[in-house]
Amino acid sequence: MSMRVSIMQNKFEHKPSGAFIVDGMEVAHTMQCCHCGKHFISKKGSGRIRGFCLRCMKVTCGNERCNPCIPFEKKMEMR
Amino acid sequence: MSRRYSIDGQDTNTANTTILGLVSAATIRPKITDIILGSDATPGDQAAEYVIQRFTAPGTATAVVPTPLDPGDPAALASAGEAHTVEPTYTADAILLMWAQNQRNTVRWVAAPGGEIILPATANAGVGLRVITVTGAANVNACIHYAE
Repeated sequence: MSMRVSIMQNKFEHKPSGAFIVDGMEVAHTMQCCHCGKHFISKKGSGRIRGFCLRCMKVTCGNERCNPCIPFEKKMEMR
Repeated sequence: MSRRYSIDGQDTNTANTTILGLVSAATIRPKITDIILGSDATPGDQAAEYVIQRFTAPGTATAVVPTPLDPGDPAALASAGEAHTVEPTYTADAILLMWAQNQRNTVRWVAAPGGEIILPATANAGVGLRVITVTGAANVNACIHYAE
């Protein structure tokens, strides 16, 4: 039952960046922040504020440090 | 085309310990495509929180030699380690993936094309599969597939 509740809460994405699989079943999709590369599970009604970069046209994780548009690839070059 | 490799490791999942670490090199940017984590201990209802987190120094660990998925491929340029005696130097808040699981479960995370977890082309930098909290420690086993 807990598994079913978990599946219902997780939002299945149209274009996921990754997926969690338990017992051969996809239980959650992950989205990837285009600025830090972090994967996160998007949950409807969770209260977590995510972002969207209009230059990258992709979602961000919502961390304040990911608000300025510094693409992940650029950050990797700067390391 | 990238060459793909597999690494595996095991350790007791006490809090703040690293189960398996993947270390990059100056000439490559490894991309993690698959992570599998489960436990071979006697089944028990224990919960644990795991993260994939970046580090800048790999610490001290038992070396794990990456195995090419294609036997025709050469040895990997990246390196790996398990059962750390000195923990890697983790970058605060550089958590790339987080999940919690019951000891009875085996959880697999697989990246969609373009969604891989990418390591920098920097020597000694990498990512670790790290335990954050656990209700009761048990031996856990991890396997990571990556491309370089």
